[in-house]
Amino acid sequence: MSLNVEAVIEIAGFVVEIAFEVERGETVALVGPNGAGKSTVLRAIAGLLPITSGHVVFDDQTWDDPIDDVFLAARDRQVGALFQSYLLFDHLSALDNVAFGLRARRVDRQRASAASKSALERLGVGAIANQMPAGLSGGQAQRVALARALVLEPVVVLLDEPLAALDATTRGAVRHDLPRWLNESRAADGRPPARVVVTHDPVDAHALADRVIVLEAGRVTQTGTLGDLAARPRSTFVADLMGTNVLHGVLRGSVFEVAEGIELIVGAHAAGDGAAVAAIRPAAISLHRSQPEGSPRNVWKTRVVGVDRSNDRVRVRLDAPFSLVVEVTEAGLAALAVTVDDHVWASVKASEISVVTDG
Amino acid sequence: MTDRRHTAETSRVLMVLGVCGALVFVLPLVALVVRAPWRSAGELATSGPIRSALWLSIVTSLVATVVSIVLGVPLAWVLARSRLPGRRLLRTICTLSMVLPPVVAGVALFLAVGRRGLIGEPLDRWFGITLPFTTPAVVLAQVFVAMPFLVLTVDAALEQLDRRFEDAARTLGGSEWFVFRHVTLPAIRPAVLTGAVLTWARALGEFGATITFAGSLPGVTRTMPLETYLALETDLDRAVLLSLLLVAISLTVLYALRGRWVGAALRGGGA
Repeated sequence: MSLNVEAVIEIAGFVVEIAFEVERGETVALVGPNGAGKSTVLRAIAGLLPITSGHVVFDDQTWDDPIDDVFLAARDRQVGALFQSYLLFDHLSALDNVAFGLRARRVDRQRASAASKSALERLGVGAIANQMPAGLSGGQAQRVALARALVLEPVVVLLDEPLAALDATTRGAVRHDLPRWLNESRAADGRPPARVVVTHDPVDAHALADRVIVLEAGRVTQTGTLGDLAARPRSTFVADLMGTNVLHGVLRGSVFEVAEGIELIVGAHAAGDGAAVAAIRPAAISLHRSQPEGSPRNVWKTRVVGVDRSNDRVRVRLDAPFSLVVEVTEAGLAALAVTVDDHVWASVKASEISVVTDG
Repeated sequence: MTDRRHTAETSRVLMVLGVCGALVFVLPLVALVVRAPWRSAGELATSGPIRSALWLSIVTSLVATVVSIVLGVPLAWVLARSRLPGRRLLRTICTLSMVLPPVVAGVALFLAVGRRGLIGEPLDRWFGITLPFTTPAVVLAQVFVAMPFLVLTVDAALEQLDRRFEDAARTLGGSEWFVFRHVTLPAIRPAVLTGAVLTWARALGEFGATITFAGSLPGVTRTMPLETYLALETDLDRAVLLSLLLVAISLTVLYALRGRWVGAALRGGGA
């Protein structure tokens, strides 16, 4: 009982290739940089865009399969979509927006209104039923749009950046409420829908999703839980997303060569050979004013190119011989007394470097 | 200082030219008002020929507007949304009559649906229907020259419409017709109304195609513009009064709608 997507989608010369499965009651996050093809995948699932090859199947019902010449129109797929900018119909009240799908399915006016009213109430916005969309706040508009999708009891729910357009305060509240609303929603058969959420924020992905699929330039670069992603990021995007440094290089035994002549000794766990990706948590790297004496073997001289502050953490960006982000405390930075363009020594313990060979 | 004086001079030049431009429109109207036979106005306006011409003009222009909406909105949809090959050429052809001399339009209509015309001959032979020199011919002439105003306005609005709203409606289970009826049409309503008003105004003033294709039969095809033209040869007072009547009707409608649908849609193409 699941949504199964295995598709190549070509649109205006851009190719997206993706394969994944979502169980009923499960939420999968589609994460990736802008233009990676995330929304394209959502549109293909919704039936707004035919796929080029492969298939989109829900349970034993084929929604799209070019080889068998099957394409189920959007209106026949029972997909509920929450669009990024909500797309409420301006000329209809909140209640009539929610009732739109029921009316399109020829539910009579009274029953459609009653069902819509209770859908709005479930999301805590019953009081604004008669307001026009123009007068709604971002949070209210989003709830109306969600009610509009959920009232049809869809088997698949798609959410495109559900938190991106909200202000910070509302965002926190919705991040808390949305998983509950989604968990409480039921398809017509009484079982929960399969859910796919597009986001670029790891915190949102964490709050909403069980699993993450990373899509970059139309290709899946990594899948797994957020824990997997943080521990072993396979691309710079994932590393940036999770706040981890990613280095591409070549592994020979327990020596990882980052660049010409720059080698890091990695833990024994990573022994292997060939092209590899190394991840180093920003907090695992130490900075020194002068060449450190004693134990650390991985020591190199580098230069500070930026100092970014957020909350009580400070992220120091380093360049040559390779780019890194180091996280220090405010006190640590003060003790170090370095600023942009200063030269510093960086060190990292072998056990703090996790390496994955490619392929 | 220099800058500011320069600006002042520029704006003075623009002002003078602008006022001259406005005079092009204002002076003829003033002349009509000044020259109007106010004393005998009431008597003339209620005379039989004027009343029947006025009635004919109002009825035919309104029917032409309705026909233009019924056919023009779908035509605009075809031009804006379909993947019909030769769409661009079709758009040009469908709006050609805006710049065509109306008399050419009349000749073309005659060749198409005249008694010996392309469609007119079979129409006449099989159904006994002859269009030229009838009231429906007046409507057809008006639709021919006026519908492009509606098509262009609605076409522009459809092009600008955010199609994601229609996609949202589709995921909500709307059939294509339901989506058009309940999402597309409400969104382009201002453009449809603007287009309708412009179409009606153009239809009301139609002269060249009408006199060529429908002739000038009193009570049947002799609309206000035709009546005005004929009166000019015999009775200047009547011609002036008829002109003033047409001006008054158009001015009232356009002024009443200013800044509402007309202004909004002409500026922004719709919603």
